[in-house]
Amino acid sequence: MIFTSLPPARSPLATLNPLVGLVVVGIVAVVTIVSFDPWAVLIILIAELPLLALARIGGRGWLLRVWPLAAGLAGIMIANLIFTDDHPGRSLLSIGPLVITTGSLGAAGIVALRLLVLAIPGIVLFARLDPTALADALIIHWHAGPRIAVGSLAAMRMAPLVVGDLRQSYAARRTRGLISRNPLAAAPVIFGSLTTVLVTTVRRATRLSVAMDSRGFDSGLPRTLARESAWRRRDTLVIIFYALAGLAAIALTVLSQLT
Amino acid sequence: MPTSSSSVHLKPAGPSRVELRGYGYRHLIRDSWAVRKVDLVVEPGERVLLLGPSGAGKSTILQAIAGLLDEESGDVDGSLLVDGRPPVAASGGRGRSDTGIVFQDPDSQLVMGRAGDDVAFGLENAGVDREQIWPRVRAALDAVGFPYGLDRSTQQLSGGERQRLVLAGVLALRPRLLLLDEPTANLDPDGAAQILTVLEQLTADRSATMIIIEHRITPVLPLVDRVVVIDPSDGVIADGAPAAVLGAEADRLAAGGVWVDDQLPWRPQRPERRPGPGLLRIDRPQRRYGSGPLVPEPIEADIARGSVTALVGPNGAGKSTLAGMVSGLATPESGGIVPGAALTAGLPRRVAGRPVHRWPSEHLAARIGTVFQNPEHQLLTGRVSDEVALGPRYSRAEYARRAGELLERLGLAKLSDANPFTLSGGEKRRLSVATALAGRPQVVVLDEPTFGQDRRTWIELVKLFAELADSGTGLVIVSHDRLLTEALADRIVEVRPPTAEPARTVAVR
Repeated sequence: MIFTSLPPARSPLATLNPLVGLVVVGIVAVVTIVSFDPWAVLIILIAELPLLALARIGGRGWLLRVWPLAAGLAGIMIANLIFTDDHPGRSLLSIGPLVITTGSLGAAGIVALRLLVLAIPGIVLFARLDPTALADALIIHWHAGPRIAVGSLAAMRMAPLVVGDLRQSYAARRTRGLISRNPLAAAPVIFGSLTTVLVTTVRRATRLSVAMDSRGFDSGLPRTLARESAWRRRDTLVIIFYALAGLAAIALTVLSQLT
Repeated sequence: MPTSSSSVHLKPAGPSRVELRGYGYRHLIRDSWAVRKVDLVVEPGERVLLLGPSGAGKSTILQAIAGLLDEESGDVDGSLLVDGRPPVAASGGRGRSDTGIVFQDPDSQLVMGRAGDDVAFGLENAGVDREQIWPRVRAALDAVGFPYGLDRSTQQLSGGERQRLVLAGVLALRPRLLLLDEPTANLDPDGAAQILTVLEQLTADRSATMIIIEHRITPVLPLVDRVVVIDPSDGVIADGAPAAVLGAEADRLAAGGVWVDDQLPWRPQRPERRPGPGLLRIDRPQRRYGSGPLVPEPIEADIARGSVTALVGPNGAGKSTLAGMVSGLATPESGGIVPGAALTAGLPRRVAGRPVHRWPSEHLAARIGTVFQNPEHQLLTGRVSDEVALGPRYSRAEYARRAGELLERLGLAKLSDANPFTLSGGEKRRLSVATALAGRPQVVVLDEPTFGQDRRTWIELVKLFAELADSGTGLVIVSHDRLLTEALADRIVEVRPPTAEPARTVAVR
């Protein structure tokens, strides 16, 4: 799905510090929230083109990641077209209450475009994200507490086990005659089985935390880190580039508001 | 397998000495003491096997020695000293401890996504400098014979490999005292043998004191100097050289559930049978797991009424895949599971023509029951009686009626109000069998039903399975347990791995 990580590959983006992705997503988010100007969105989109070129995600990888986004964008466009009561421009389509004009189509298009612009850096920069590297970077550069960072990592390692539990739970319901085509009849059983999956997960997490403590996680000694997290000049340059693009976009919005 | 061992855990301070005097512990929420009146001294470098019936508090003793239990989590009686001091508590920032502990389930002990990082985790906690971490990680992985590189994903490892990784993570810290709480209980025979071989090599030089708990003791005896038998109320009831203690205590231990030897504990007297009508035919079913090869190698077998068919074979041969297909849970990509007329009787005509994996759930449950390897995976409710009575919508009353009868028969009646998760391992297993029987299936598929069970529970289960077969149920058992197949199976089907080359195995004693 959209969050599955690709294996590490020779992508120039994969050599960036994981924090760069967080900062870039932050910058783009601020710009798209502050600015409604189509030209500002276009500036950010152009600034994101190198990301697309360097991502090396591959056709299949894109398909897997982009379809939820594409579905979301289509939904947003349609909702904007149907529910807007602002109909400037030339009328394109008019069936009963549904009126589509060039103006409303343009407005819906810009809403969708802003979302696309916001999603691209997230998809591209997190496609090959190594959670361990992100945790290390958070601890080293942003001085995050190891308890939170390493604890979250351990929790992430549990995620596939939970998926396995859910699969087993479905199999258990099938062998016991509990899979019903009627969703109302199935709901209580599904709820009950989710509860037992939750119990299993909590118990496993408790055992894991005991195992972590027995290896000195809560010993109070100053912790070292086995891995380095390098911050290179290119990390700074990428952030400066997007900060400038963001400033340009906001400046453009402000100027167009003034004139 | 391992090449060097001594470099990993050699420490100038030498192995620890453990001393318990009148030690007792009671968990806060419990009325009774988990252990009581334990007097035990383990000298530096000794290797001790802790034995006792299930529920004798052996794990509690190990956890207490590891500093995982204290006055805050329960009541403590008597004294417990490691190297003359109370054990360093593992949590709460009380500094580092020289004790390492390994538990049963490797999945709940691995912290990181990559093998090397996981071993480094303890070293980071101990504040070891980065330059020293990686040599120590490599040495620890070498010592346990870890066959892959540092970047190997922990998800891609077999159970035995994972447990060796856990052991490496503990050894990298150079413990002076190594505690092992049934380290092989969750592993297949190969994985268990790997762990025990590593332990034997690691402790041969007595650079660490070792205390181990195991249920299947025959393979453990060669690597211990001393056997201590614990009783929940009387403390230590036997203590000495392995041969002497086992000679004197064998009967009592066996009655308490300990696997004192590898002999068949009980053999059912099954009546001479003529083969009953065929229930289903295993007709060369195969499927792919992820992008792997088709498994298992083609197999043909008929499952008849009252027969017991055992599917055996090495890891990776596709036994569980085969069991899933026979259960109607997984779809064969080639071949199939062909139901016989006796099994399809009563099915609506449009269903009867379909392959088993496309039978609607309620029809499947009334014909083929499945008992999963881990009974907890089968639990869907918070109460024992509800668990068994849970059935398809149109058969609720019938299931509820049968639940009482099954609970009685499987000895769970007095637990009917308990939460299934609070049951013991053997009780959980019986409960999972009860849920599979609630639909009155004619075929029951059992995946490793005796896995990790003590001897007493094993006998109960084998009796139950024999009764089931005698009453006409066709049993399909997937198992590594040689004793189980010896006791029950009418026929043993060898499941071979897909490739011609034999699977990687380690000699089992």
